[in-house]
Amino acid sequence: MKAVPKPPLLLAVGVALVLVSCGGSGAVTVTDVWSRPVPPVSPASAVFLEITNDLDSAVTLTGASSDACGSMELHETTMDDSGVMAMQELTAGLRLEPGASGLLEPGGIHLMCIEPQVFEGSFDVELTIDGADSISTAVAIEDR
Amino acid sequence: MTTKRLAKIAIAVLAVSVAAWVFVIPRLRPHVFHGVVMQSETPAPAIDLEATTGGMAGLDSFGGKLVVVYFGYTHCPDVCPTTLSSLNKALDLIGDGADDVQVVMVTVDPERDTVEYLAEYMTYFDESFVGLTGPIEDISRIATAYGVFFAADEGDVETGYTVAHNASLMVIGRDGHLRLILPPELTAEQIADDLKYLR
Ligand SMILES: [Cu+2]
Repeated sequence: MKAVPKPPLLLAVGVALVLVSCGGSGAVTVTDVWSRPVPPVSPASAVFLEITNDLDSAVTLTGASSDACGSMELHETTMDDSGVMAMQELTAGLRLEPGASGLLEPGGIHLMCIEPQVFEGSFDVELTIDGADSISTAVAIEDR
Repeated sequence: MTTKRLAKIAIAVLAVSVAAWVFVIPRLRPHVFHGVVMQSETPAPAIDLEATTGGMAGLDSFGGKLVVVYFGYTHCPDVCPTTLSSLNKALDLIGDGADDVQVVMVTVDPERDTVEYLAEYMTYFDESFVGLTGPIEDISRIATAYGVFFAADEGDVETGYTVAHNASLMVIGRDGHLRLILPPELTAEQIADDLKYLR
């Protein structure tokens, strides 16, 4: 029987070490992922969360997908001086410098869930991030 | 005077001061509104639209309650659910007196917000909430009269569109006059605080 060649294993360990050192102090993390309950007739709901970039390089949250939503888009609600609120798609995404966090909150930025399918409990989303792996997380539906 | 009598007087004085402190002084302190107080000589602009409760409704349809009017729409994913949920929480905070408050949402998107659809949407937030809809010309005229601006962006029912709108709450007193404008960023506690005082 042929002996298992060792170089690939060593190479794998080496690559892993390089990856760890390149990864700097950490990763991109999301916390406090929630969505306000909306009536089941609602054509849209909003997902809020906090995202932190502990990598050594900038990343950009560009969007998300979920089986519980027809589609998802990153949006920003803005209010002008006269109190008029409007919503735009953040086509460039939300950029986070190394060490920075971004808060998606009511009246600010949200991931809009278009044609929601789930109206209570929780559902899973996958966040698409430029410059890092996508992140799968659960969204808690709760009235805050 | 006996010591006993003096003690009784002392206790009486103490009791009166405590009562004053607890019951009278808080009432003397003026209520500081979180919203913007309005003092209008003329009654609030009339509203005459189709109601989710059936038939046409206006400000005088709610049995002399304090009416909170919001201009919003159901395809609104962030601001409108947040506001309606805050109003529901505010009514909970008001407790028994919540029966004296009527929350009404005038849709700024009558094309998509049919009366059946609005009914389902509004009662989800609170059984008592009423939605109003009607021809866009009527809604525009009413919104303008309240100083509320709204504009749909490009897009149609097929592609979807959003409606920019002023998200303030108009509070109309039992006398039919606009009393207060609550800005959209107020919390349920702040809304309850103001409504309790006006009610
Ligand atoms: Cu949105």
